[in-house]
Amino acid sequence: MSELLPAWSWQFAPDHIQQLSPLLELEGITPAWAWDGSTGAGVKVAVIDSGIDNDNPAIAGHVKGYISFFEDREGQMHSSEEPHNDAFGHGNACADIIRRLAPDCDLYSIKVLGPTLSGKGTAFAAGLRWAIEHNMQVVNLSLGSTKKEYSGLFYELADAAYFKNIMLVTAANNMPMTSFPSLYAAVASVACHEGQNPYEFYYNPSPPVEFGAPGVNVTVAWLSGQQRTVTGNSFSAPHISGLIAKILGKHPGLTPFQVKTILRATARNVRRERGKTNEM
Amino acid sequence: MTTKEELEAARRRIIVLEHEVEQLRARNENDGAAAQLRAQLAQLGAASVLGAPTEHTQLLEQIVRTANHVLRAHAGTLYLVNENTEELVFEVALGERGDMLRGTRFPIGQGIAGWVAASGEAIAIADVQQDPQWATGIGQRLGYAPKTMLAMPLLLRDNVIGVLQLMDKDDGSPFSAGDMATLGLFAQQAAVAIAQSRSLLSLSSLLRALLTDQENPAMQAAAFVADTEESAEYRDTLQLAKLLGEIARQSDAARRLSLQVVEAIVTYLHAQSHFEERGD
Repeated sequence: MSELLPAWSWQFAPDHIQQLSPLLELEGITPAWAWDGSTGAGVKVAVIDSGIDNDNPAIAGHVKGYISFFEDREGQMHSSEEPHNDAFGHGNACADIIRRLAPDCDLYSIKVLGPTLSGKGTAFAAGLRWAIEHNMQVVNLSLGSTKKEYSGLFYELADAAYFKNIMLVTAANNMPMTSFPSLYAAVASVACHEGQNPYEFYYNPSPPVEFGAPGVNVTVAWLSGQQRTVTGNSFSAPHISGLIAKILGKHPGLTPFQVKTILRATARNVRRERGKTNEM
Repeated sequence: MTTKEELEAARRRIIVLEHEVEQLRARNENDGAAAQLRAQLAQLGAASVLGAPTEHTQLLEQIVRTANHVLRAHAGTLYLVNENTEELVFEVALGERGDMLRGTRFPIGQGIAGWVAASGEAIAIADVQQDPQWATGIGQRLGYAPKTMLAMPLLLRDNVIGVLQLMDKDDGSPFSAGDMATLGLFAQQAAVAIAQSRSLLSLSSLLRALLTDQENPAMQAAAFVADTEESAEYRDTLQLAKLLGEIARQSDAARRLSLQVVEAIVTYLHAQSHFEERGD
């Protein structure tokens, strides 16, 4: 029978419809239900950034895989799966924040920022493609490309991730300009607020930026075991990445739209029990 | 609803209103600061139109000085990207020893300015003293150890052409997210002014060579054309300059009429820009 159906329709034929487990009623989605008791154990979280130092005390050997991409002056893309370090400290900072919420997640360091400017967008796209092809579950993108020529490519990659149940978490640009794939519907886009509680996040009913998380004067790991107190949207995204890793550790197999539903239901400005912290 | 509930509802409403008033006040302050920066930058752009090397250097210095003044920062530096060598070149450091650093080159792959150039993202740091690279490198040579820093990319057509850094606010507070937004608006326009000044500098240099025959003008002309061919803004600017020259050669009445038309267009563009910023 399925041959007679229009394209894309076969999966809704009576003998193909899959019965799935329902989520709780929205009122029943609480922080306790969503992530209580989870450490994000076993959840694969990729950090596409400047690299991660596995021997940094804040990382404590939780990097399970490495890949780095860079383009040479002839435009040739190269990659290496050899262990690498963080070139600037920013990748360490993101990984540190993620581990504060999901200390037992498996980190994958995808290094796309280094000593050259050429091919930056291409390396970034290659890193994201690698994360999708290698079935990462959460991908933290505290950077984006402002080059319009990459908009189509990142749109395609964001959709590919969405359909593979891979949650892309992006930081909105710090400046009032569009960057890719930061504001696509398939990703969870994050900007910063001034709170310090890592579990304090907000839902924005007027996207494209959908969530607000701490990113002002956040003290984070940097280079050589030192810490920095920093401000920027790029430090808010890993808070949401860590929280999603925590949720997926307890509820494996959730789709991106289910994850967003849970985030919305547990956001500080949505929960009915106002004034009570989300921390569990 | 009981009186107690009504009181509680009123109390919550007051909290929300207070928050909204505070947001509006902060936005108004930021809008005012950004407008002041833009006005000063417009004057700088007009002053640098002659394209002499001194004007170009003065433009760079004035950009840092203006940003410092409006955000009440104690010190500031400006780097430009050398695309051929993929290095950051120290152009401006306000202060006694600033001239000593001019022309110093740094690889893009290190330090805060390197991160900003590589990622195209802004960052604010509340504890720069913990940065060993700054303490032993630039800070030592400048004889100045900043505590806080705001580093902003200078983006032109999606490319980072430089990095503007401000250090230490007068009141000792760290740079805020609002400061980042204000400087972001200024930096976009500063990047355009720098690019135009660079193009004019190249043109000025070419004209001098043609007049004095001291260098190889053919090679310079080729380099100039290659440099500016990519720039639609510069082509438009040249066309405008040609038209203005044509107007200047007309009769008094025709010149005054032209001036009125141009003034009307500028007034309209300012009004449109204000309208877009307000998002009305």
